[in-house]
Amino acid sequence: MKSNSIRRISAKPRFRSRPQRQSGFTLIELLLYLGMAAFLLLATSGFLALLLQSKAKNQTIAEVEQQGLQVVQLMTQTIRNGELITAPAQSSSGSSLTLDVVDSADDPTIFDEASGVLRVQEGASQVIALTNNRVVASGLTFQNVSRQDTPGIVRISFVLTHVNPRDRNEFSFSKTFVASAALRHP
Amino acid sequence: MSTLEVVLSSALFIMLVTALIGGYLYGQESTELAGNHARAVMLAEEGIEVALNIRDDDFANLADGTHGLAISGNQWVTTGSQDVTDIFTRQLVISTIDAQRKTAMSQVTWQQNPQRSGVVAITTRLTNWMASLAASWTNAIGSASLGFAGTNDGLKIQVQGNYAYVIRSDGTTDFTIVNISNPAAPTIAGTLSMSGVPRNLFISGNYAYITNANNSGELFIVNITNPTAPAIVGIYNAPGTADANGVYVVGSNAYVVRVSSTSNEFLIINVGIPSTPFLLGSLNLASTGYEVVVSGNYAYVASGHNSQELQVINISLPSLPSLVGSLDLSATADATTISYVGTRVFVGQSTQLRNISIASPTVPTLSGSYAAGSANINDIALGFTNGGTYAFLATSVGSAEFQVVDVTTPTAMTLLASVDVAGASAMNGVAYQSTLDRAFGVSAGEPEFYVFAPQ
Repeated sequence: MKSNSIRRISAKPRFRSRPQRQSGFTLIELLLYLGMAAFLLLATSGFLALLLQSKAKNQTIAEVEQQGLQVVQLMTQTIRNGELITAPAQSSSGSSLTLDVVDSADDPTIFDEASGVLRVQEGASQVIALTNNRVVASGLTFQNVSRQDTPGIVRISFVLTHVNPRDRNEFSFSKTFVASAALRHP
Repeated sequence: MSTLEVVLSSALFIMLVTALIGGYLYGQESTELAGNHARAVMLAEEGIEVALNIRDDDFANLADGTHGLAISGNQWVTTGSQDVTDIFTRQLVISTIDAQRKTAMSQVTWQQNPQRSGVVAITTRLTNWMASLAASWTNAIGSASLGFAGTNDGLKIQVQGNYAYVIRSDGTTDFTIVNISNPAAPTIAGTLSMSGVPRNLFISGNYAYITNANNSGELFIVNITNPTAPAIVGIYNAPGTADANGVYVVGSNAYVVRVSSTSNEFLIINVGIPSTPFLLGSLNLASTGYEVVVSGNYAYVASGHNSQELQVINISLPSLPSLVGSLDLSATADATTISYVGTRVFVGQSTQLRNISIASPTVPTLSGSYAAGSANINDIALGFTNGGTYAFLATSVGSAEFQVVDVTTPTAMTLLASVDVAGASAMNGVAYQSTLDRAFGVSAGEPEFYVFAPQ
């Protein structure tokens, strides 16, 4: 009897379930994770914003560079193929260039700038814009630095600036283009 | 989360961030570098364009060396050894290829970043396109003419320096000196009358040696020191009365050939003292000697002999000249004119120009022939021009009195050009002046004197 009671008494605790610890975050852990997540999100967002800004800047630079190069190449090629520099006169500078070219239908060929747009007019044709509305041209100068009794050489210089009405850094870019071309026609 | 997991995830995160930042930074730099490269190319191209304009002004302006460029006095000039624009340094390097060509290299260097520099170099060749091209005898023209007083035919001509010496058939003035210093406008410098009829001439130094049909004077020696006043200083009267034809002078000896007669046809006359010429030796050629040239120890005679149209005479002993060789040319027509250069003699035999090798002087061999047309070749002048050997022919061919034949290849002599002199008069004599690169001819018609030029 005694032994049974003892067995019962001793058996009771064996079948009583021990109180289990509940899993979860402590407040510190939670705050730490939240902090890290917030930092990561902020960093990622900031970096993405930086990348977007960089992309916009690259596009801005490319826009100015490509348009400038295209205009320079067109002008130099036309000068090289020209017959005569009509204006500006030798030893003079001007904001427009008038060329006598081989094809009489394109005489005269005139390069100039109006309202920030570089333009060309071939003969009686319509004036053609060489730059688009994303850039503004300024300071277009043609310098006739030909030596006496030579076919001639012209130095071209102009500035292209990307339009930036809100004065944002990623759209702020300006470049000066300088090139020279000598006429091949004797 | 184990410590290992934390370390790994942190490393991955850092790598990702580094890659993204690196991409961003390199992207920015690459755009900037591309822009700088484009500007460098434009500056280099400008260097070449400037070199072109400087060349167009005067090819001599392109001095060899390394130059900088600048605008001075409203024109491009070379200055210093380089020029600098912003971060770019430009050099124009000029070097000579030959007299009419130069190489121009325009090089632009700049510092792309502290570790790397950029270079753009453009090279081109500049030619002196305004230089006068050497005129070609393939387009020969009669560029000037000059009429003499009277209507006597022009017979033969020789040139020396700025003067042409002409003999004409008998007339009041049968020896004429023409100033050809300006070939476009020849003028008569002086004249002389001789007794008899001149037949041929040779100019050597201050004297003209003129053969004559005069029975009492077959060789006239004329002092031409003063072209405006030529003067007879000596006359040699050969034995017999046969007319003298060709004459060639080497040193103090004059070699004369004559019309066939009982007298010897080949004469060697000492003219060391022009006033007292005397005979050194003579040889019977058994036929008419028309013209003679001398090379070394041999004299070559264009002969009327039917089987020895070219006769070779050893003259090493002037007192005892001897016939040592001959060449029988096709047909029996007389060889009437002869000229030589190097190891070749050119003989005019009727309508044929014969190119004969005298590499072995005693055994002359025919290399080739050229047919001038339907009439005789009267005279031959040789010239080295346009990189070849040309024979200038004076002929009786009515539509091509003056002919230029390229004889550089003996077996394939080809006509380069001909000139139809106004009228049908024969061109009797021709001479070539290498400095002026002009041929001069004398005609049987009017005017007597012609200048022929390449174009």
